[in-house]
Amino acid sequence: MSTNAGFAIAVGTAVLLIMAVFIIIFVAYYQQKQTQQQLAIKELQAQHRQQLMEATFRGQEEERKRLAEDMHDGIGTMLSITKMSLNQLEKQLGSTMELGLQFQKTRSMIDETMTNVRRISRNLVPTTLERFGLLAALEELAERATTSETEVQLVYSESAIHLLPVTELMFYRIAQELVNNAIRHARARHITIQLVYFDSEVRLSVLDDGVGFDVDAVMENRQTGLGLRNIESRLNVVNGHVTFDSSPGRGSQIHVQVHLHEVQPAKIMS
Amino acid sequence: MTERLFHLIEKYPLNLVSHLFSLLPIALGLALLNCLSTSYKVVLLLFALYFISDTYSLWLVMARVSTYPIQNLQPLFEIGIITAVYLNSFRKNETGKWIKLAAILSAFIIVFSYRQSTISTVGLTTQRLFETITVLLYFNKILIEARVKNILFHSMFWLSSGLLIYSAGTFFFSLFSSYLYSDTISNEEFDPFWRLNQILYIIFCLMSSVGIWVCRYEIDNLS
Repeated sequence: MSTNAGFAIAVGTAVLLIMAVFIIIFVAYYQQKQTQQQLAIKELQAQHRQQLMEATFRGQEEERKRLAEDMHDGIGTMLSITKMSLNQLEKQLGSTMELGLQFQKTRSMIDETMTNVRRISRNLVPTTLERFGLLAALEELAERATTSETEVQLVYSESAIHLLPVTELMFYRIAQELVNNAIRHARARHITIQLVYFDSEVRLSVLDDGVGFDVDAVMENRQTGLGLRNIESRLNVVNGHVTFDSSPGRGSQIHVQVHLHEVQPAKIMS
Repeated sequence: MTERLFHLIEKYPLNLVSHLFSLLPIALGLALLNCLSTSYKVVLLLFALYFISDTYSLWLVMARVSTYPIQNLQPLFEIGIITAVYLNSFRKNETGKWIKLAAILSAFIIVFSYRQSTISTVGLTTQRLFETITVLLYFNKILIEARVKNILFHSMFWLSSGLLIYSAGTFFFSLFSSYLYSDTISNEEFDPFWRLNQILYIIFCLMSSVGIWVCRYEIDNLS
């Protein structure tokens, strides 16, 4: 009896111990699997978000291009024809002093409208960027933004790296947004655009001596922080990052950094 | 009396080791008290209970007084502490109510099956059963909720694993305790089971200590 009972206790204990160890290993294994699955899902979601953003920006650029073409080819051509027609009408009607002044005034209004159409279409599609690259486009941006009240300066490193057109366009759009913000919101007098190339990364900085802003407050506000969030979204696509260094009354320094190996040509170009 | 103590240590050295091992989680817990969760602070009480109960039992053995009352009453306190530890995890959960109910029921069983002069098999078995079920419910909870990023850095996983090994491993020891503690069984037959009991307790102490050690990573480990 005693041997049987001892044997029963030993076997029962062994069985229960094996079961306990098995349960513990199963829980640990299953939990690790669960974590891996969750990570994979999160990665897929992030990838999907990135693809959506890419598609959004691509669509935005295509729409801008279409709008610029329509403005240039449609409205611009029509304005040129209108101007020619006006000249012919002036010749046919003869030239009295009063009529001549009226024609002159109408012509200058048409000229002004044509200049505006050209400016808007150039802003929509930076042709200099497409033809001569990022540096030339930024130079043009700095030149155009310079007025009697604001001086915009471009500083760049000598060693230039050839970037993908999409990356150049992204940098250009970000610089455009930041310079615009510095002029319109920060009322800056001096703006510096810096473009520095390193071995494996490109850094674009826009520094100004404007009124500055509370970064947290602006980012939290859904209406005012739209431009800055847009910059973050653009950079998310290429795993780049932006640093906002600003506070009221202290100007602002905004640095954008992109690792070149993060920008996969196939991914962006597709 | 001292001679008897040395004799006991010589005869059951593993008893002394397991007795001292109760201090490991307590010392480690006190050193890392700031990062311990409320549940794990209660675990320190459990080990303090084990240590005090073992020390008192040792004193009774030296005085040649029966330790059955302590052995039969200890499950009551253990269930109370284990319930407090796990209820904190099941706070916003229906299972918490069932654990509370099971704890009350187990406490009643232990009280009603209490014996002064013999070992209370029903009480000991009820305690092991309650602990095993509670741990399994906790494992089920963490797998369903999937909040833990890495289970190896989750304090309660180590405590639960240690407790499961201890309670499952000593279940049959408790179930047949009236036979094992009877006068008919020889020391040669009893000692292996007693030693296994002590080894499982040491494993429980070690695993609980690992749980205390990983408490520093607990905040980042929950999503």
